[in-house]
Amino acid sequence: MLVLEGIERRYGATLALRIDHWEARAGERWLIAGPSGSGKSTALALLTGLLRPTSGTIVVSGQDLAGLDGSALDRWRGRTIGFVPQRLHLVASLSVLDNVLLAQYLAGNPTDVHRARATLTSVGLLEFVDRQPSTLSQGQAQRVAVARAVVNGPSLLIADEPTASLDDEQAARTLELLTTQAERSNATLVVASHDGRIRHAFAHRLNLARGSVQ
Amino acid sequence: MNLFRLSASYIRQSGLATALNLLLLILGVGTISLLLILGHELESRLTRDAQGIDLVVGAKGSPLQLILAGVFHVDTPTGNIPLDEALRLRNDPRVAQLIPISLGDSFSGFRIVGTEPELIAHYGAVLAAGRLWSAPFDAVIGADVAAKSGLVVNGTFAGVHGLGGGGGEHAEPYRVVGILRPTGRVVDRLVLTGLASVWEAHAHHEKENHDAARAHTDDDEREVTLALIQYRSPLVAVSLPREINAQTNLQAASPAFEAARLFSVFGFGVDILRAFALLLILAAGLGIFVALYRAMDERQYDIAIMRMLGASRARVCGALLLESLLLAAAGALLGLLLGHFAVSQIGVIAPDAAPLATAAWRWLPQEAWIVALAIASGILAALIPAWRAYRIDVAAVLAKG
Repeated sequence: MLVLEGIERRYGATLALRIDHWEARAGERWLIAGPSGSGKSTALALLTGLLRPTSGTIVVSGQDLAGLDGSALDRWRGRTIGFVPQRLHLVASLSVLDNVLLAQYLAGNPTDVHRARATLTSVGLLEFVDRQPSTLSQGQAQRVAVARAVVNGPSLLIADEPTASLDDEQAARTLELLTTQAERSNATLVVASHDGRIRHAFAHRLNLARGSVQ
Repeated sequence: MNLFRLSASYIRQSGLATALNLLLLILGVGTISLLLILGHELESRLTRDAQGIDLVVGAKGSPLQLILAGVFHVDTPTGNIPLDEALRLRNDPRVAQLIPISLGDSFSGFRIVGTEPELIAHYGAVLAAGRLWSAPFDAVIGADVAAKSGLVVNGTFAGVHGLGGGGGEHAEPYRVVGILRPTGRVVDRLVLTGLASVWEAHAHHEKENHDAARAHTDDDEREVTLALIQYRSPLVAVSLPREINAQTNLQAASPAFEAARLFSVFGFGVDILRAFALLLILAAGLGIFVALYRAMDERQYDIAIMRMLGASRARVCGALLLESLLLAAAGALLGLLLGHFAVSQIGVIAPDAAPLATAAWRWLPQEAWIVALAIASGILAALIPAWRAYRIDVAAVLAKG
C-alpha cells in the first residue's frame, strides 16, 4: 500500500528527514511519533506529494509519486488521500455540507449530496449540515474535517496532531472516530503525533526521533 | 458545489467592504453610461434637427445664436431681416430651397413659427388631423404641443409675446386647423402658422403699445427673422456664406459648424465628468484589490486546504479571479441599469431635458466598452492575489497551522 525506500529530504545542507525503509499494508494503523522538529510534517508532506524527496522513492497505493506532476498530482492527491490538518481549516464561508461537497468537487468527483450527508451522518453531524463552521464546537468542527477527508473514499487517511489540544476523553473519541472511518473506507491510517496518550492504540509505529520503524 | 458557488460565498461573507467597492463601481459605470446615452441622444437629435439645412441666414450677431434660434429653437434670434432680401437669395441659382421663418411669439413655452408650408415637408412631417393654414391665425401644431396642451382641431389659444413666456397676450387668438404626426424632430414642439399671422400679430401689438412707427403690413417693409437654406450642391458652401457675410447686411451661419463648436464647448464639461467616473471605476478596482490582498492572509489556509483536497494551482487562481470578475460584472451591469434608469428619470431633475428620456432604454454599442473596462479592472485587481495563491507553499502553510 505504502512503500518508502531510501528517503532523504534536505533543506540546503540540513537533513530534515531520513527514512531508510518504511512499508505499510492496506488497513494498517500507523503512528508517526517524535518530538517537534523531528520531521513529522515533512514526512506527511512527502506522503501527499506536496514535497519531493531529495532522494529515494515513494509509492502510495501502487503509484510512484515521482511519475506524477502538476495538476495530475493534485488530482491524485484529492482522490487517494484524506487529510485532517491539525488546525482543521474548514472554509468559513461555506456551510458544513458545502465543505464536504467542496472536497468531492475539488477531487474531480461528481458532487453527491446523498453521499456527503451519509458521511456527515456517520460522524454524527446530520443535524449540523446547514450550520456555518464558526457556530460549531472544536469537536464538531473536527468531525466535519474528518468527514471531508473520507468522503471521497481515500485509500490513505492522514491526521496531523489530531489530539493536540483535546482533553483525554475527547482525544479518545477522536481516535475512535479516525479508526472507524479508516475502517469504513478500508484505508490505511497514518497519524502524526507527539501525544503519548494515543500511543497504545497503534500497532505500528514510525519513530522519527530515532529514524527507525517499530 | 462549483467554483462559482465558492466565489459567491466569499463575496457574501466579505460584507461591507465589498458592498462599498460594488457601490463605487456602480456609480462610476452609471455616470459614464449616463453621459454616453445623453451625449449620444443629444447629438443625434441635433443632427436630425439640422438635417437638410445647409445654411441659416439672419441678422448680424452671434452665428451660434442664429443657429440655436433658427434650427434648434432654443435661443432668442439675433434680430429681423427684410423679407425681400431673403427672397432675393431664393432666386440665386446656387440655392435649392429657401424657407423664411418669423419668430417672436410663443404659446405655453412652445414657439409660434411663422413660415411657409415647405417647412412641414422639410421636417418630413405629415398631418395627423385637419389641414394646413390658409388664413392669418390658422395654426398647425406639432405632436408634442398637441399632447401637452390638449388642443384639438378648431381649438383656440392665445399667443404670448416673447419666446419664454411672461409677455403680454395678443388680442387675436390662434385657431388650430391641423395637427402633425410625431417626427422625433424639433417640429414636434413647434406651432406653425403663416408668415402673415406673425406680421398681423405684431402690427396689433405695436398699435396696442402706441408704438406704430412702422406698419409691418406694408409689403416693402415686411420682415422675417431668418431663412433656412438648402444648397443645390455641397460646393456652394465654399462661396455662398462668404459672399453673404461680406456683401450684404445679412449673416450666414452653418448649422454643422456651429453645432460642432457647441459640442466642443460643453464637451469639455463632459470630459471632466467622464474622467471623474473613470476615477470611480479605478478606485473600485483598487478597493477590490486591497480587499482581496488583505483577505489573502486568512485565505491562504483555505487555498492550502483546497490544494490538499485536489485543486490545481490554476484552479485556486481561477477561484480568486472569478470572485473579482463576479464583483466587476455585477458592478458593470448594475451600473448600466443605474445609468439608463437615471436617463429615464432625467425629466425629474431637469424638466427641459425630459424629451431625452425617450432614449433611456436604448442600448449603445459603446456600452460594451464600459463593461469591458469594469471587467478589465476586476481582472487587474485579482492578478497579484491570484499570483500569491499560485505560489502558496501548501505544506508550509498547513504545517504552520
